[in-house]
Amino acid sequence: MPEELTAQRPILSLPHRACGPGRPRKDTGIVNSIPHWSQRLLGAAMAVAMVATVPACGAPGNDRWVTTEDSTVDLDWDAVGQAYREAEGPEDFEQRVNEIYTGDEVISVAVQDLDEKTQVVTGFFDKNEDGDVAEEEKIFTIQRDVKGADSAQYQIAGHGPYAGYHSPMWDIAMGMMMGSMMSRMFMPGYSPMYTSAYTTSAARRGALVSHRNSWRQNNPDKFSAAQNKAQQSKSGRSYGRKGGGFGGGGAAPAPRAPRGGGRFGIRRAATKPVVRLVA
Amino acid sequence: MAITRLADLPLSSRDPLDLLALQHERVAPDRDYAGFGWAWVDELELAAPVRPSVWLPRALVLALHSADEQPDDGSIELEFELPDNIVRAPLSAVLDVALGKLPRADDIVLALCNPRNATVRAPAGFASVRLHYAHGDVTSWLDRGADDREHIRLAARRWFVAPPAPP
Repeated sequence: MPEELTAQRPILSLPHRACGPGRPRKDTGIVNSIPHWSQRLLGAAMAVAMVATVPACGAPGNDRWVTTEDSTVDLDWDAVGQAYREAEGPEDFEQRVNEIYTGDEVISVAVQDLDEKTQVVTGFFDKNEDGDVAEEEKIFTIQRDVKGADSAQYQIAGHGPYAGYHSPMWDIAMGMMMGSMMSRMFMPGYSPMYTSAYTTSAARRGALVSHRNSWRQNNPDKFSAAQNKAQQSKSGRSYGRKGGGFGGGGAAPAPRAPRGGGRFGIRRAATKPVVRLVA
Repeated sequence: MAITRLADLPLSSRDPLDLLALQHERVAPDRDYAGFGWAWVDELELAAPVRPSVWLPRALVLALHSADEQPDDGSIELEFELPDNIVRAPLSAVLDVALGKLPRADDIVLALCNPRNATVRAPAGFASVRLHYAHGDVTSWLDRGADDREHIRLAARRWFVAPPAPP
């Protein structure tokens, strides 16, 4: 038997946060969104790995910042997508999303694996605090579909005050930096974990508020930067309080995205004469 | 001129970024890449999902390509795209010929897709070399930190060290 490798020194990698299975719920309302999603998935063909398939230029609903007359706080969709890619689990994802969101409400999260290949993550304002996803409470959904042994796609869509937003179709390939919530699907013997939906519990919402308050206090520069970003809509409108610090002490530069290289297998028909050699 | 012997395969030394298709800005691996050869790589990361990465201070990377169609006998069929033709050959035969021509290295890493998760064995005479190989697809990446430090990462489902071939 081959010797399996073990780590020789630790990797500088993704942060590890405690994640629990959460409280399973059966009725999340997620299933209702599937036909709508399927139409969108079918409409977005020709995706290039990690480069989105961007619908025609100027197509409505694809702005990174989307505001409507009903919303007072914008969502940074790029940051939401990044949080999904990097999350270690649903609890980590909901924590990250609530750090991104600059409003007062708490974003609850429902995660459900619909089958072996499809996972739907729903962000919602649990206004009636019943822990279930009502259609009018939805603010976004993320659908992820496994496409092959080493590839998958996901797309984000806005709902309610963010209705009309839909992200490009993002391709994911094994080897990309991603959290275990996503990379788990590339593991041999993968089986879906959330056939019974994970949903943010009432107790968890309280913990999220506490965490977010301390996060905002401890990261005033990041919070005000996020507020400023969220207030600058594409249309030039501003929402809510203005201001924020613009003093010195710039943030440390962020790591750049990894550069893709090659794949070491041939997957195409031979276009030249083929010779087989054994010596 | 067509190659008729494995010993004549042009398995040459190359710049690591060139060998691993990392010279051009690209957000995901080039799935049509067909380059092969070998290169020394410092600070090489062998990454797999949910497992700690393995870091090799200095490794010789032998980049090869598995053919689209693989045999059922547990071996790996390679494909070399040459100017005039395409050469297919079993990995074991190529290793028998190629490893003896490479510089001595403590760690040799096969950048090679292994779609059927075949077990690779080190050829006779190379039992002291750690020959690293992977299960599943292998893709190359250049990770860049905030301080502009870069390192090469090879990603796969799982990495192994090849056991020696049976006597």
